[in-house]
Amino acid sequence: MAETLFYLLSIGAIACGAGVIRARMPLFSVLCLLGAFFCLSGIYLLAGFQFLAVTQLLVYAGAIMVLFLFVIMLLNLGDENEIARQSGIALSGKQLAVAGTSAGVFALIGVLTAGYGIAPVETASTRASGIDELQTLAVELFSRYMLPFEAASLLLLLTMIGVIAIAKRQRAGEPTHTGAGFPWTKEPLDEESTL
Amino acid sequence: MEDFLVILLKVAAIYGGVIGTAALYTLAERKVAAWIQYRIGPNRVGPWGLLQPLADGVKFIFKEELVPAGANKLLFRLAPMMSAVPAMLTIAVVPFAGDMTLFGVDTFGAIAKIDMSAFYVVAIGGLGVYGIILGGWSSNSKYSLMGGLRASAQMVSYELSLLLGILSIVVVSGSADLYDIVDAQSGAIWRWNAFQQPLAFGLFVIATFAETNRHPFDFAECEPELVAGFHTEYSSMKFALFFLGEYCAMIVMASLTTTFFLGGFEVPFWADAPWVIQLAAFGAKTAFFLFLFLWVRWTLPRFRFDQLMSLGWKVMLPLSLLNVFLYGALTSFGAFGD
Amino acid sequence: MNVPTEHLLALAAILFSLGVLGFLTRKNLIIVLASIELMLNAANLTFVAGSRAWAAEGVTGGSPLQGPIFSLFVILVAAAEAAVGLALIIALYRLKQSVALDSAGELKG
Repeated sequence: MAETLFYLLSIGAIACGAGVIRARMPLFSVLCLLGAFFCLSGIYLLAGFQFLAVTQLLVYAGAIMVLFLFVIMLLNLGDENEIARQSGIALSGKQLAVAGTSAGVFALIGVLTAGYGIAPVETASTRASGIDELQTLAVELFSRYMLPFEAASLLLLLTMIGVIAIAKRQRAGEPTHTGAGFPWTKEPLDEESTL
Repeated sequence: MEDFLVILLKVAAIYGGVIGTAALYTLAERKVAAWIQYRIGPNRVGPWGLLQPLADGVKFIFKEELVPAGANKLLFRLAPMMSAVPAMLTIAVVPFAGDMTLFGVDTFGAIAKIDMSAFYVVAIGGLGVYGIILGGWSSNSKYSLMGGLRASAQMVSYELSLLLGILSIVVVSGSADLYDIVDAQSGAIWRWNAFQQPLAFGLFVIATFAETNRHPFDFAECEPELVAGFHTEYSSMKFALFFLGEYCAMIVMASLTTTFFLGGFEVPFWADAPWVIQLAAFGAKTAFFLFLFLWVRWTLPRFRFDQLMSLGWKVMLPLSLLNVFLYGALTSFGAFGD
Repeated sequence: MNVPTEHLLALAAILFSLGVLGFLTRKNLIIVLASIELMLNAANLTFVAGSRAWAAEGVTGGSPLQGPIFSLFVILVAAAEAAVGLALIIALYRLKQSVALDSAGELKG
């Protein structure tokens, strides 16, 4: 039962991963990524890591993907072809071949070395009951991994400040591109839409 | 076999109950609005207008299905489902009553008992926003797009406060299982988290209004500015499904607030009440929050979107962090030790 | 779940390669960022697989949760990376009205 579920989820994750890189519209790419996250979350659950599964959903599905969608909607990004036309550059066959080969090599190396020196696992003895897992995790985080934990919090703070600094619009009067480029500021409202 | 039947019965009862409550809640919304505004409200269909939701449903079915030109058809059809399903998934772990015996089978008053249910409800419940975002995006309309855009920003901002509120409860209760959280509040009325953690309670209730896109934070729809926001282009049963999703989300949020802060199904000063009484107590507490949603909607004016954002990030988030820190410190000094 | 560790690792390798392929071939910055997220997730899966395998072998030397802890840090870094990346995309869009990777080629030597 659990094994079948694992292979189903794996197929789902790979299909969604292919969707991410094949999608014509960025929105579909992001939705496929969301699907892949769901499949991976299920796999973590099967492996007995409940907290990780929930965190995966909370952080990725609940926050990061919503942020992606927010940006896609803010910039009103539609068809990929527009971008290809704008940049005027399509990927040449040679470049595509190089990229495909390198990814293939990665996959080959990964699959060949997968499990090298690791004996097959007979049973999953890692499955801890929920609160034990949570408590063990907390104890580890606040003792053995105290320094990385604090560094991570610093990283988040810096990220917050950095993101605000990057994305903030400059005040009027400064020589900038204030508001320019957003779909609803690009042209003045025509009379039809004010009716 | 009997176990399976009992589980099936619980699933049918809980989902039937929730969807039935959602239907009655739409009527209650109009009745309460009328009451607050000195009107009578719907009173023509059935006694006291009780069959009004049924009439509304029939009306929705007979309306024309419309997919706007230029809309993304797949996402346009998918969006209403994606807004309704997460709320229903969340219901599965809400403890409606304690241990019970049904037809000789010992069971409990929820569909599922899982260890991480306190986090599960936020993780799954937060996915409801995808329906709103995709509905807004796929409609190919500026108003809908703005509605979806606002919903996404709002959801990310307020989910933090919601989650931090739950976190401080998990710290104090020592468990992320909703049943353990209810147990930790049993005994006396002052052991309810609403009295133990008043700050978290207030922040959580405010955040639930933002999470369900309800007034005074209903910027995703916001009639005066955006016509009807994300569902401007929707008609017929798709619109009804959005409606159902919103009302189910409100019921879920009300029952979660009850579970986290008002002792869930615990009856004050009656530790081992029969499960029917517990269910009734749970219903009464949840009904209060359901009424609160309506009361606030028809009483308070709407915020402005920038006010919403600054409230979320500059007031609620620091206070939530302070609350987690405070109760974490108190717990580590043994203030809540048993 | 009686799945051999090799299968988990193979899945991670395939996902990582898909991410690499997307990163190398796509021109849309949003999709490039999504591919990076996919690669980070493949790394997470490797941590989980390793943690599970070593715990079963009884040679963890610590808790079976070391892998998930690293995964949590990876998720954290991924969140920070996504936020910064999306902010850069917004800033780029303001300048160029485009999210194509080629539109930011001025520094190319």
